[in-house]
Amino acid sequence: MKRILPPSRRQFSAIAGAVSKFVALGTFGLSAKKLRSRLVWAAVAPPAQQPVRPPGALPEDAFRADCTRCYLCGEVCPVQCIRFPSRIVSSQPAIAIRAPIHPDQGEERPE
Amino acid sequence: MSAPGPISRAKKDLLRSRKRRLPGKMRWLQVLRRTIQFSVLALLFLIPTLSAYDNLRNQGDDAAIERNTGTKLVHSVVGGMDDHRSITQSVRGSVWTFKAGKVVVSDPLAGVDFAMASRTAWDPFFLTLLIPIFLTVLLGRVFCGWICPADLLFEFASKLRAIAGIETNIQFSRLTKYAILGIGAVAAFWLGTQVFAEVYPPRVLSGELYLWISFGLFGAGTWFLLAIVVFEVFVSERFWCRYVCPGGALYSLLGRYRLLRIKVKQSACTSCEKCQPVCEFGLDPMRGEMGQECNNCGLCLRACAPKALVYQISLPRKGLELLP
Repeated sequence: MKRILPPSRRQFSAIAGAVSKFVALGTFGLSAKKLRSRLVWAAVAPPAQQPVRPPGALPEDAFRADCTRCYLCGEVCPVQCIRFPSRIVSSQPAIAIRAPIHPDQGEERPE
Repeated sequence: MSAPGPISRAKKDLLRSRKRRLPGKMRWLQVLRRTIQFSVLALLFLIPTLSAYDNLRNQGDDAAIERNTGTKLVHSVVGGMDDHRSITQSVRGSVWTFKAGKVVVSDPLAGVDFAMASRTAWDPFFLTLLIPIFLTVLLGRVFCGWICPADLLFEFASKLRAIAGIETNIQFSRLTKYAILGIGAVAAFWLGTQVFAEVYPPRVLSGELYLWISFGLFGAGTWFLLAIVVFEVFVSERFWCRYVCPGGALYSLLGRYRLLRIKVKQSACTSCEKCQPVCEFGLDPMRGEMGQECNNCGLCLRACAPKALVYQISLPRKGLELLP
C-alpha cells in the first residue's frame, strides 16, 4: 500500500532539513561556504550517500514515513552505533559508519 | 514601557499572587500535578541512563560505569542482581512513545503524523494511541500540564515573567494552533516524513536529554527550546502552548466533550477575577468560558477564595460551565 515518493520530494525534505540546520546552527560558527556546500549536497547527493538506516529497517522512503523518532532503537543498540543527527529537522536514526579496520592491523578502535 | 501606575501595580500583585500560598482549595492537587510532572522528567533522565548502563555492562566496561554518576547510581542498585536486565529494560522510550514492560503508549500526535506520512489507514502502531485518546476524551487536555515535560519548562518561564514583572504580552489568535495542526498534517502527507516529531517540544526535550546523556552532546533542539523560553519570558506569555502547539490543538479537539469539567457556581462568585491571571492557557474561568482548551490543572480552583470554582463530572451539555 505504500507509495514511493518521487525523488524530487525526497530531495525537498532533505533540503528542508539542511535549511533548518542552516538556520539553527548558523550561530555555531560554521562558515557560510561550508553551510552552502552542505545545502547543495543535500539536493544533489546520490542515493548511495543517503544515510544507512538501522538493521532490518524498511526501504528508505517507507522508513522516512514510518519512523516516529522515538529513539527506542538507539536505546537498545548495544554498541551505540545508531546515532541521531542533532538537528531539528530529519533527526531520524542512522548508523554511524566508521572506516573498516582489519583485525590483523591491530589498530585501536577510535573512540 | 510606561511607568507603573496603580492599575499595573494591581496587576503585578495579581501575577505575584501565584507565588504566595493561595486561599483556595485543593492544594494537594497541585502537589500531585507537580509530583507527576517531575516524575516524568526524572524518567526522561533515568531511561537513557539505564540504556547507557546496559550498553556499558554488555561491553564489560566497568571503569566507564564508575566514571558516570548516573550509571554508577544504577549500578549500586541493580549491580548485584542476577538478572539486572529485567529492571533496566522494563522502561524505554520517552513521552513520544513510552514502553513499560509489554505496554506501549504513544502520543496521539505521533499517530496523526504516522497516518499522514505513511499514508496508511491502519497500522498496529495505532493501538498504542488508545490509552491516551481514551484519557483525553474523558479528562480533556490533561497531557498538557500533567505530563508534558516542556510544560514544566514553559510554566517556569511564565513564573520568571511574574517575578520579573514583565508586562509585554503580545496575544495571537488561539485558532493558530489548529491551523498549524492542519498545515503540519498536510505537510507530512506531502513530504512523506513526519513533521510534528521535529518541532513538538516534549519530543524535542526528551530527544535532547537522550542525546545529552547517551552521547554528551546538545542538538539544535536545545536552542529551539531556549528560543521559545526567551520569547515567552519577554514577548508573549505561554506563546507555544496557547497559540502554536499542534499537540495542544489535537488534545483540545479530542477533549472537547470531556466528562471532567471545571464549573463556576455563580451564587458564590464575587467577580474578583483572581482566577483569570493564574490560568496558564489564558482562558476565562470566571465566566465559565474555558471551552475545549482547559487542561483541568486546577490552578484557578486554588486561586478562588470563595470556592466558586468546582470540578464536576457531567455529560457534555451546551453552555453549562455555569452553575447556579
